Amino acid sequence: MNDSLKEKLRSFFTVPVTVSLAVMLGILIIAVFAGELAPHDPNKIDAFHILEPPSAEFPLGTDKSGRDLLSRLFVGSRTTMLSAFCVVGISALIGIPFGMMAGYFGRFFDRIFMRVTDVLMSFPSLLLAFVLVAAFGRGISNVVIALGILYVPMLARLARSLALVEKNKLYVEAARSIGYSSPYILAFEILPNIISTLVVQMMLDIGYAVLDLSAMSFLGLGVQPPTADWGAMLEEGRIIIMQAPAASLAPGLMIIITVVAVNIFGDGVNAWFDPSQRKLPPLSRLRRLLDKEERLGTGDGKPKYVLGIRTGAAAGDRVPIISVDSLKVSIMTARGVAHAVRGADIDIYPGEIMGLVGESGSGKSITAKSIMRLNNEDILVYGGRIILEGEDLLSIPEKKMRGVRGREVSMIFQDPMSALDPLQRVGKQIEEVYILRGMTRGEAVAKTLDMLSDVGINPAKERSRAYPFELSGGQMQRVMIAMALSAGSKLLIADEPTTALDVTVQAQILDLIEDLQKKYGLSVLLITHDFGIIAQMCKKVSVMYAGRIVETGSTSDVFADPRHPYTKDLIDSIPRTGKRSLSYIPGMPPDLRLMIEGCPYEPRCRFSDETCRETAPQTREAAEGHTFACFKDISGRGEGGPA
Amino acid sequence: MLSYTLNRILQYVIVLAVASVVIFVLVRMSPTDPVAVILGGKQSSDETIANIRHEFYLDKSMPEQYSAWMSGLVRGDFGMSFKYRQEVSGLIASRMPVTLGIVGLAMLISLLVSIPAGILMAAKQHRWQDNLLSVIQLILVACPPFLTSIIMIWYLSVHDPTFAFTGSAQSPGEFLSRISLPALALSFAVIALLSRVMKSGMVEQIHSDYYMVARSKGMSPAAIIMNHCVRNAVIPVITVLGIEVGILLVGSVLVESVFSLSGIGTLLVESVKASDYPLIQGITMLMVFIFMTISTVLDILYGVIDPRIRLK
Amino acid sequence: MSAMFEVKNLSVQFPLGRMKTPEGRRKVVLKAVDRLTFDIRAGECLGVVGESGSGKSTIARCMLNLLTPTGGEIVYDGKNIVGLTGPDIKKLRCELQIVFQNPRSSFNPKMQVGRILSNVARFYGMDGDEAGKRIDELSQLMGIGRDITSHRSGELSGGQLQRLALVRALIPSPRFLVADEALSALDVSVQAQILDLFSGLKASLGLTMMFISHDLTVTEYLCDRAMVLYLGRIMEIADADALFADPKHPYTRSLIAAKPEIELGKDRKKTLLKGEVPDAVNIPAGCRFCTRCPDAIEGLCDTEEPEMAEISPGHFTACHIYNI
Repeated sequence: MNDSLKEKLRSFFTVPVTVSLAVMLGILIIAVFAGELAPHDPNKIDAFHILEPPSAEFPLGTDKSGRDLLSRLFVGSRTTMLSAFCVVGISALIGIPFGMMAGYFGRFFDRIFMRVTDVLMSFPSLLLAFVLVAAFGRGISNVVIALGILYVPMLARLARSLALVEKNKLYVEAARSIGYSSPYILAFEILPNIISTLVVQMMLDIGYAVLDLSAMSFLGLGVQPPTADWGAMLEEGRIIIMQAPAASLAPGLMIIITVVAVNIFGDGVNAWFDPSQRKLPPLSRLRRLLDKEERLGTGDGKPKYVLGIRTGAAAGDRVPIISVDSLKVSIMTARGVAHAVRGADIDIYPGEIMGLVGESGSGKSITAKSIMRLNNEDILVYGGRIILEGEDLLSIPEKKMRGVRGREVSMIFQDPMSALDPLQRVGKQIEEVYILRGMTRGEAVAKTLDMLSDVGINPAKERSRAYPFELSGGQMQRVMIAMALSAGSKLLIADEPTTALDVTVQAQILDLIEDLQKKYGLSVLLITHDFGIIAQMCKKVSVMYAGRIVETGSTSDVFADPRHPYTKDLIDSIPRTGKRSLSYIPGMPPDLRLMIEGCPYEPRCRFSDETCRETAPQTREAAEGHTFACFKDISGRGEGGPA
Repeated sequence: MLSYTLNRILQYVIVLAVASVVIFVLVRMSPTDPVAVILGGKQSSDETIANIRHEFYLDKSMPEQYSAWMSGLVRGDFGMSFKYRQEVSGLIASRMPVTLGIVGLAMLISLLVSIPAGILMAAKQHRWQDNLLSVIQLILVACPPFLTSIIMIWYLSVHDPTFAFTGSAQSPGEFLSRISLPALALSFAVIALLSRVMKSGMVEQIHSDYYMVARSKGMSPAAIIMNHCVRNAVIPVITVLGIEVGILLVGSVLVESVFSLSGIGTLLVESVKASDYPLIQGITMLMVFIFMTISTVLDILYGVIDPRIRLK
Repeated sequence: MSAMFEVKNLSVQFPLGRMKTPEGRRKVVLKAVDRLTFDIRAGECLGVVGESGSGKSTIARCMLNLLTPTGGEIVYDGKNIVGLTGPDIKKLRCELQIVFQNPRSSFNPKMQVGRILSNVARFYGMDGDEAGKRIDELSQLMGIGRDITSHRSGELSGGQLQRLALVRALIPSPRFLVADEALSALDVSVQAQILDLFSGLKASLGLTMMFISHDLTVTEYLCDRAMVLYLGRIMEIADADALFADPKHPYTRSLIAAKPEIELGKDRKKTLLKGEVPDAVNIPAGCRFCTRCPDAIEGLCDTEEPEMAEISPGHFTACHIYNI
């Protein structure tokens, strides 16, 4: 059995899932083997043993006709469980295919489907079952069919919306482009992707079916005497509750146990299929894991992380506005711990735009969020310092950090469209910040309008009354910038601010950032994967790879004379106007779950050798203000080519 | 917004009409002979039978019977009950207060409990408050109203035999004490449902992009939750409220019988057992009407709250 | 070179019912593609450049018969393929293939990629042995090892998946390949790898391609000819070199100017466009670009829609400036 399968099974059989599964199996065994397990004939009337208390012969006692309650309970379990499975089976067999077809084919078929299910769903709860029983007569089989029909709309609509979502995904389009037929696509492409959600719902439906079946039998519409099921037993027991409480409590308890077990199991299965819902181990355990790895080390004194050299002293004695020092951040993922940032050093100076460039997985976004301490709960910052005006932001209490956010450091994000509360007007969401800081309503409104026209939103008054969905991507990003600068922060962190925008709009936004930077004397940390943006906007740049800063320097220095092979290879691989040949970097970035002894770029580097594999390179200086982390001197070497 | 509202109302009318046809047809499919029900099993002369058939429109064709029923409905005349030989509307009216009282109180209890519970569970997700409330939620879902009622009665009979919960109430205070226990029993399942929807709605908001952006502005989690998340999370709750009303309406039948209260629920079950067409039709139509009206109103309300619908 | 595709007056419209517009309530129609006419010559790589709302993805789907246009013709090898059904479609599918923007979503997450590929091969009539050989051969060409095929899409990287997507598309030896923003979802260093692959395909297989992108430099590198779309109409179409060396249409010029250039010290012409791409529901009267055009002529550009005209040999543009 390979590791990932073992891991999957282990994560499935959590305590709740295992216990509930055991309980469900127990109930199923009772149901299946009821006949053999029951000590007496459940329907045998015995005038000599009426209403007896529990005893050895009758473990639960007897009812008012002298029938053994335990036997009735066992046989009743069979009736109830079998019926419940039938109900869910019927609803699934009818509902799922129709729902899927409605979602996939849409149009006419879907319209009919929706109207039919509308009518079915216009009957609240069990009402339709009552009417169907009125039409066809009482009895357990009629109730089963009635409930089966009752459950169709919910399951069918679920199948429909799931199929609709899948239909719009690219793999379905790919299947259509190949020429697969619709039935094939429904059965073999879409169904496997939605079946897990449907099965979980069906499991939960079994629980509801048990409740509804018992209700119907309780009312006398379901099983007819003398047949036993849990609902009927409850009805019979109710009358004799004083004399024989077990007659009601026993079936009642069975119902509760069954439904609770089904729900726990269903929730557990749901969480297993959807890793985002899984509860991750607490951060304290992550911290312990990391300390252990740290302490293990290599044993030979070589540092495992790249140490930084302060560039402040060399850069003309200017003091950075913010200094990130040996930052270490790890993420708890479903597949283990990923070390996203491994000792990053960044200095941002007042009044300049600094770029942080890297590809996905380089750790640049997490670094940015760490400065703001906005990381999710599964992310742990466990090493390093972030110095702002002499204070380490990582060590101050959260309450104090809230004072820093927005006021001293602010941030804008990649996707502006989902960045605001969709139910509130845009202006109010900017005013809110002012009001929270003590301004009056009037002052807040005035300042908001000022900010909005500052960022190029005109007419400001009208636009501030718009809702987020009424604004375009570019306008929303302007609003975000206005909001970020509203409290007068001196440092703006822009995390891929234009990636989601059209190129012409991107130019506008970048222009705006430049203008605002000059106007307010801001420092900007501009995070991007686009070297063109770096060249256009940034005075200084840091290049990040696999959680480390591999090169830092002024943009002109770094472009003219890239000293780290990754920087050089990356710049070379970007297509440029007029360039005819194309070089590229072979291979892939390293797996961040692994602790890397040497240089992370080594496997893909043309200049690497043994030393690079064994030892992590220290940062050294190429020229004033230009640092890089590499053993080699690649200055002046030619362009690389396809490997 | 206008087209959205008109659309909803049109849908409402059409579905009600189709539902009425479905009810009518289904009830008439019963194999029991209505005349036998009316006569209560007594033998009668052919003439009497013919008279009865005429009196109850049973000698007319199906479409005619249907239109007679519908035209009566809109005038408030639900027909005559076979079994009780009384006006259906009268029977329903006399029993409505009890059922409405139970349902109304159950809704109130569930709202007061579920919304704060859902918010708390989301805010403290995975911690002890959430775990405890989740366990309680699980148990509540599994306790059907009739079971809870039986246990309540048993407990009362043992510990406070003088507690009167049957018979008609003399004063509002007595009325309240009569219906409070059934309402409580009924509310369990919907508390579980509502709090679950509230919680998942809140969790979704807490993990949304705008939540993080709000934090980056320096807002505290409490402020964000109160000013933004709750409003967004309430939207799915509004939709579920409609379903909740349906569950309570029909579920009332399960508590009424245990507490020996004469509400609409027990009347419905009696009528089904007796194949009393007019009564079945009347009560069912009424419940569908109440349910659909509330659902449609909630849908329109949803359109008012969500600016994406209101302004497009 | 003969034309493999002749697209004539292609239109795709989506009726949206009655909505509120500045002129009041009226029946609103979204014109994703509006009377497009162009050719694709056998063996060439045609670049399609545009921003959001330009209609480029819609065209791609029409070319492959995944979407039925509301008007116009697509003539492939002399026959109109719009509205084709049945066995004719099957033959078509072998010859026309597509690679999508997001390689991860274009593979069924529940299936092993190897099985996905062999299913495709078998669907196109190859038996087990043939299929295996063909997939091996293509995998080698695309630079992926056979051992990858036992994985599911969730376990592979974007670059690997896009290579697999190319393998899948090439299984039936198609004559025409559409690449719909095939590089956009990939990391920069991986983009270069895949771009190189496309380049090789052109050279070694003589594949006719339609390369859709918003990135001008990539388009210039790879494509023979390129056309620039805006709100569903062609603004300019020419040989790729000519288009970028001497762009005629104001929109093309703005696009080129807007892209951040790596060359430091290069004098950036700051012809920033105002505003954003208008809603495809509210297409401006006259030339649809006039609301943002820095060179718009009042009275002309906002009333009359310009016709496509040949400015220099093989270089067409639709702009009033050249017709005065």
